Amino acid sequence: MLYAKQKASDNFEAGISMSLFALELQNGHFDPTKFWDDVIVAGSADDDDQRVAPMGDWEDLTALITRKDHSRRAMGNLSLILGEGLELSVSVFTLVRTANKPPAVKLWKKTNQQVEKPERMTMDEDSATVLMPTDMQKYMEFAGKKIFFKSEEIQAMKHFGSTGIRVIAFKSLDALKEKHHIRPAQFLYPNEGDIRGSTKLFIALLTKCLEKRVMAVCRYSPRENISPKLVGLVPQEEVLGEQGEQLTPAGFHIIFFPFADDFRGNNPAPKNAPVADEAQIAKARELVKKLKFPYSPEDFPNPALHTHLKNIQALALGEEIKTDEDGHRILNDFTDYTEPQTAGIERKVGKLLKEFISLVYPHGYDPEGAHTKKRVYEKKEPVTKRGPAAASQGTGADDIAQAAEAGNLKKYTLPILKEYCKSHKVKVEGSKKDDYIGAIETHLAGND
Amino acid sequence: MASPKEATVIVLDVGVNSDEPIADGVKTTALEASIKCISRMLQSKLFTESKDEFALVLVGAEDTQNRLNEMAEDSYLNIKMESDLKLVNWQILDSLAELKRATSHRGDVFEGLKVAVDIIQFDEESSKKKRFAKRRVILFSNLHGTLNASSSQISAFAKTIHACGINMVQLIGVDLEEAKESALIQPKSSKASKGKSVSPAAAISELFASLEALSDDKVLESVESYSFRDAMSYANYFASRQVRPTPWNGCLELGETLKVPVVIYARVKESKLKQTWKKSVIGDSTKEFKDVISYFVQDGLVRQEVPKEEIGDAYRYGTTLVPYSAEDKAEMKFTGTGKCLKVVGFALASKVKPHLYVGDDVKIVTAPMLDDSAQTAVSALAHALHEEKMVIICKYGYNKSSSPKLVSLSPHLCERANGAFEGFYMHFLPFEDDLRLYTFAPLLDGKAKDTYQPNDEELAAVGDLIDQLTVSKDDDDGYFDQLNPKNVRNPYLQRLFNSLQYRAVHPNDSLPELDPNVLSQMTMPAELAIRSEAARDKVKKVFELKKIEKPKFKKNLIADGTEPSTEGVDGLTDQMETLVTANVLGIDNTVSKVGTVSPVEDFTALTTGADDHTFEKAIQMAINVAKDLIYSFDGQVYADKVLRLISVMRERSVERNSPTTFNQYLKTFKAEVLENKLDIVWSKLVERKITLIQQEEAKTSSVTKAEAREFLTTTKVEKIITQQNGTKKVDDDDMIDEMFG
Repeated sequence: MLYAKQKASDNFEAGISMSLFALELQNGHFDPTKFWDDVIVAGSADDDDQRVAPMGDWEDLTALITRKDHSRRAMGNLSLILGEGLELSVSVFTLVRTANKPPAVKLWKKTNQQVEKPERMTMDEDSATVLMPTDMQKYMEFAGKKIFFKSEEIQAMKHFGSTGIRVIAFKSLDALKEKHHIRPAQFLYPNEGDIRGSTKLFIALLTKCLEKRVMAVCRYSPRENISPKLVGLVPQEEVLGEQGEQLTPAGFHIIFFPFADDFRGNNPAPKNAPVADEAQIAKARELVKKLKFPYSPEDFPNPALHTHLKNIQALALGEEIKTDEDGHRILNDFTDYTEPQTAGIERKVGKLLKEFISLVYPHGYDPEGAHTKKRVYEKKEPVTKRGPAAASQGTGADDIAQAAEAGNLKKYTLPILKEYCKSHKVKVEGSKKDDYIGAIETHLAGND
Repeated sequence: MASPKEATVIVLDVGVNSDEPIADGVKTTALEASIKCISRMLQSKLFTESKDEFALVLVGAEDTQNRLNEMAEDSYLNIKMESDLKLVNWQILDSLAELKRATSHRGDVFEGLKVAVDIIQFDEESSKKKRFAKRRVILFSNLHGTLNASSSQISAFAKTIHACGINMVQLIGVDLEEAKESALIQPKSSKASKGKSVSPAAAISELFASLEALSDDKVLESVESYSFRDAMSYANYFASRQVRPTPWNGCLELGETLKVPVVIYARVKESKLKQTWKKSVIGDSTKEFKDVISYFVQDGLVRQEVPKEEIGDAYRYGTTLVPYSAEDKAEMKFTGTGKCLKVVGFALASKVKPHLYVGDDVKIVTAPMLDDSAQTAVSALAHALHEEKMVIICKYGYNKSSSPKLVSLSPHLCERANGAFEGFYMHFLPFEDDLRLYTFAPLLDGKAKDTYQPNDEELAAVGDLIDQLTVSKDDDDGYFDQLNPKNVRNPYLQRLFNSLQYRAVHPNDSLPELDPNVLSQMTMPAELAIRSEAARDKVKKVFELKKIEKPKFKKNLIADGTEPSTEGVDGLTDQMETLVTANVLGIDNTVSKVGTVSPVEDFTALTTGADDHTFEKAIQMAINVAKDLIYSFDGQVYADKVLRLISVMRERSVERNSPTTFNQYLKTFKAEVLENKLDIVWSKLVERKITLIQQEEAKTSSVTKAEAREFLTTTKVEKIITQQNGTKKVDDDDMIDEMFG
């Protein structure tokens, strides 16, 4: 036992951390206190979150392994300053951030060798000499005037003094509005490493903020070269799932507020719009309740990202690639979970939807046609497909008349217009498209 | 509305009365305050490249110059049109900067307003069209000048303002509501005999009152007055940035049957300058230059430039690089989303928390204008969601070729001047891949370690501090509003604007230091700091907070030609850790790695008294440096340096009795040197008799004396496979085996 403990702590020092995936025993409860708790704690030293959570089955295990994909790493350690001479140390974490496709590596196509990081040089056009960064300056131009800066000056403008999270005041959580968002949130957790006693003060702060339903409004300077941001520290209590697994940890969310400069107030909005009546709202409520589902972001993998990864795998393993008639690849066993279950929805609430429609829309209302001019414009396709052949059959004549009325004659090609003029005996002076259009318009207006 | 631009005429009172301070006990004069507000407003218009046009009219000026005076010579005196309606340019800012002192005249602000309205009227009449979407007149004055107007003139002028389609009339300098309360403006008495001037404040207040009476048909949107102090803190309100709103038109689809036409606009999005920094050559900004990007492939020791056209993309699959051509990309791209906004389902609002939002903006969704049916449908859904405390989860495709996103639509119901606004806020939601599900030790409900558990006294102290620092809507101090994000300006943009303006005026001076004022809105108000002092002291007393002293991190100056770490916090902490270990071991704490400038010294410092792990690291670093030196430059030049490093490495390895890494390296080194015909390097190595470490020197070595001698005499190239990483891995595996075995 002692030996195992020693070994675990040796391993930890060598940078190996250990996690235990305990599968639930068929005939009893798994008791981590007997052996593993000690070993793991010895291994993880101060990091006391590495506890053993008993798990149900294989599925949980795979889920947990994928969860562990990102090793927990603080983005930075900062001081949370509550006022003159009162600060505690905290760590900042990212709990959510858009996962993009991994960056592409550059290859030389001839040999499939990896290309090194490109070298950038600035050349003087006249003398073909290399200009050093110190030879260059930067500028912006306003109202015809160029304003020059050195690169260092541009950098220095982002420096606003030391880093840290400085409390400005506390505000009721009600003051946090839906529109107060400008970039994904971060997460704050105490860090005992810089100021001893931080955790205790942090816990007291969190407890009281939750109790009083307040958030701390702060100036947040994560790094020296990042200009300060206005943030709210929103208290979060621990949320556990059904199996006792942690869904959301306890701590503060850092919610980024927009600045005055970032609000856009000039969006057009309908004026004096009608407000739905009670019957309409009641029907909508029925719909909403019927289609309620337990939302969890974990149920939605990113279809574009996963397609990409599967593609790379297929290429790497030389899998056979099947394509559909459009030349797009067909992926086997791939489900886009973001796609609504339209058929299911129709089965479940089809009747309700029809009732709602008849309540809110007047008879014969066409929501897709409601998009005025733009929509019409987008429906170019049928016109172009018609082509000269269709026009020569004479079926295009009515369309041309209609188009002329709408002033859309320009959409037709010259041969079609010529054909029309010929068959309708329209006299045309000149040979340009505009001449034909003009002639047809006068013809249809009955003025020729 | 082809162009959504505004026309604004600024009427600035520069008369003798503008020399008065804006409030008792304040140094700032009305003129200074006005100029500050105006230049801030014009500055942000200039730098955001707004298309709005401005004119400047001075009241109480030294000379007279305006159109109305030309028509009636005796009136409209001392009113000068400093600048006609045009885009903000440097002249208007310069002329504003030159207005340093108030004149000795007393101007008539009423006449000034008339001139202002005339400017807009004349402009639109002469260009024969309504050029502007909005027209605005702003008067800056403390209203202590003269004013000569009768009641009938005032109401006639109000009608003119209205007829000209002026949308906004604002007074900055006096809050008329407040002034009324404090009885500054005497109610107009019958005593005010004909010809005798009424007080300007009373007249303007009368004008505003008659304007308000006319403002019911929506042309005139606002008639407002602010004190200088309010205006300075809300200056941004007057200078809100115009971004042409770009709508997304489409249908919110539910199942196959329900389609609701909607329009989406951005409501919040980071505001940035329209242009980016451009490069030019110092001293000669007209000089032509071009940026050249070259790509290289390293093949053994040969470094070859490759043309850009011959470069393709690849992605990693494990350690394999998988080429991914443009054709592959086109063929394999995820398709089948298209432009859409489809309902996936409805979820409890409590499940969709702000900390989940991944986007960098907030959008609003409304029904299209003039579509009563769509508006009713949106209204019904919004109200239903609001009552059920739920949100819509949707799949959103911006256009035909974009990847799908998940969004939430939450009800947004509010009252606005032009009727109720009903629609949704739209936020981007994360995918499974975007979540980092770390587990943290619990903190609350007594689950934390006992030592971290605050007791009742400690909790009470913190609670008290929070109470002292809490600002609320009901307080009169205004801090609550001041901290509303809508009123806090981005300090970076403010500083950038100030720097741009400063540099434009003083091209050769260095930039001024950071103006602490730009951070004042983001600093705890002094009053709060004082108010909370006792509570803060109490917290300091009951909580034991002890700073852990760490060795100061000193930047290891550019030893290897790279920039000092720019990776930020992560990079820094890594280096700090190395340093801390080094320091604990009593090593010169300025050295954290082996650089190319003085590798021998670095290596010596790092390995003095180091443990096995650190030693291994140091030797690896030294090997890399040696590689860099030999292969990155012309190896021959650096041969001496490298050989010195190698001999020190050898010395240390012998001392520590750990010859394996060194011997392996030396073999690789030999092979590479010979292969690349670096004969001078080789001959120097032989000359210095740097050979493998033999058993006599270090017991753990498996090299015999003969082998060591032979090493320097044969020049046959041996194929050596570097095994360093392999060995280490086996080692680790062993440890695990031992544990579980």
